[in-house]
Amino acid sequence: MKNKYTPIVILIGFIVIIASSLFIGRYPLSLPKVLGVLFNTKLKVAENDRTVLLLIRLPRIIAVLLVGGGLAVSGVALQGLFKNPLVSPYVLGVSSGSGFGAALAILLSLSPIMVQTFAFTFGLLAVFLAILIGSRNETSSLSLVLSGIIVGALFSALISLVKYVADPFDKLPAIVFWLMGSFSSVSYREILISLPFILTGIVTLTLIRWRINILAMGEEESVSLGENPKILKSLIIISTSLITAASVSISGIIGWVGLVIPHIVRILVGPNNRYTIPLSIVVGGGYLLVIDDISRALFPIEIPIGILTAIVGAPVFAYLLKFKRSSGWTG
Amino acid sequence: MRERENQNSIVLEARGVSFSYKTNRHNKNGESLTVLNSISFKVARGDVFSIIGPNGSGKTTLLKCLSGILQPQNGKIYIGRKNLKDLTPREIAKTIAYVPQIHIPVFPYRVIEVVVMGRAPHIGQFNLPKKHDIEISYAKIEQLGIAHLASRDYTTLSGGEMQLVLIARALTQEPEVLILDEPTSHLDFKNSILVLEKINELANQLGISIVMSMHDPNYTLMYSNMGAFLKNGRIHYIGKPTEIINERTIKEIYDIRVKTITTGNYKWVVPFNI
Repeated sequence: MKNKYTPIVILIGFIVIIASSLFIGRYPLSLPKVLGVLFNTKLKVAENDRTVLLLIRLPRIIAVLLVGGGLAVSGVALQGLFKNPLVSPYVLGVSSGSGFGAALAILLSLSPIMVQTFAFTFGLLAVFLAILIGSRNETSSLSLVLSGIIVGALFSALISLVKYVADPFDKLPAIVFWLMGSFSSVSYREILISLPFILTGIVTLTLIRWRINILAMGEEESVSLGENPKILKSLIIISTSLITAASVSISGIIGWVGLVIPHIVRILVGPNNRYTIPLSIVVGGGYLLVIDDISRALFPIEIPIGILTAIVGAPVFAYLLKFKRSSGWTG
Repeated sequence: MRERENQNSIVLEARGVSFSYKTNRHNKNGESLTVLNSISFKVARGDVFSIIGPNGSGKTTLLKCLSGILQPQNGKIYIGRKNLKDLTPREIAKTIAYVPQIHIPVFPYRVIEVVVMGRAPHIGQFNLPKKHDIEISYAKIEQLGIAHLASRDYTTLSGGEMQLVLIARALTQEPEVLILDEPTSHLDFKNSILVLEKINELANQLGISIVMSMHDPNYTLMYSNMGAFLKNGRIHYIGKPTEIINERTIKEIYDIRVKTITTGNYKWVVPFNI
């Protein structure tokens, strides 16, 4: 690592962002009130304050942290696997698969829980199809990227089909809003459904994070260093797919986080996954929380977060590509 | 021309190794393409064994078979008394270290981070390198005279430095056999000599056996005590480099005319009237 204090600074920033996010929103909450609710101080707290803080803001913050951290860490791991810093967590078609699942569930007037379940299941189905098509040539990761594009295109077409037949006054807006991504309606129930998958994935990636360095040197080289690249690759693909599908099923499709954050983290601490994997979780969560705060506080109506991550992410990425390229990757 | 006592301890042995790439891309009948054909040889402790031959003769494939990256369809490879086939990649990596041709990785790891990767077979599957592993890594770059590069980005090094880093990484595996794929191929004159000197030092001082592929018969003459001519997947000649490298064998293997000259203790081949 370039500077051993960097992680401490990042962690302090992370905590500050979380703490300030508790106060951001339409409904004003003062410091004593927030402390009153969180730590049961003697101060009397109105029921409204309690509800806003514990049932609206807190679950939303937790969901944003999970999704932001999950997408960022998946991006880091997949970029290592594919030896390509331009890979995003959606490379294997998860987003299109999940989008189709959600759109289908909305079309069929299913409950929000079923929308989430469909999104998760179809996201995993898309990855499964991509692997099925792309794993013919086992030494090449390129074919996997291509099959991800194929599966993504297929499900995108199916999304269009569902949109086309959906009721334009009632269901079509719901589908469109879901696809743009938002945390506005998130509750503990959605979090609890996705939490086990996201945590399993994050823990697995954290355990094998040093091995991802070796895998990124090339498959044959990793064999000569005693690795089993097939097992490592499988673990990475399973973990990132679980995380990504579970994340998208909470929030809808949120782009750019899984692409931009890995770059920022590599610029901060270098490419060693021993540090980039854990720090990308923190930076990804913190970054998405800032964007979510903007989306719910800056404008009179809430802007879907998927739009904002792209509006912020694209210029940030352009800047990194133009000026900071050498510090994150070569080639 | 390094003469070495044969300590009679065979570290690595190939017995009738054959390898073919299973592909129907190269052959319309869908038959496999034979790259190695019944290769046999023995490598003793501290040997420096060079495999020389034209491009496409199977040198790299042979080295990959020896290091467990590829599995030969026929024949056996023994490390000591153990059949390579019966060992896991982890077990193989503790005995045989493979030094690939230098290439620039996508991510600019620091030199010490690259070197410590050699500890992978010694570190538990879900563990990180510990202080002990980092210390070994520093000791190895010290040994190869590149300690000053420890914090540099690996991708910014020169070819010679990269080669030394990869050798240092291989040494952290604490192997008995070091396998190098054309260690001088991307290096200038000085760095080639430097790397080959270092490799010989490892064989002489630590008793590590070296197997490497080479292009230059003169380097083979200077820096190895065993050599084999490989052509079309077969070993044509095997033995002491001074005995197998001469006008006749070079003509047969490379189809060029050379003249051998001797200066002091060294024998050289030089192109002649092509």
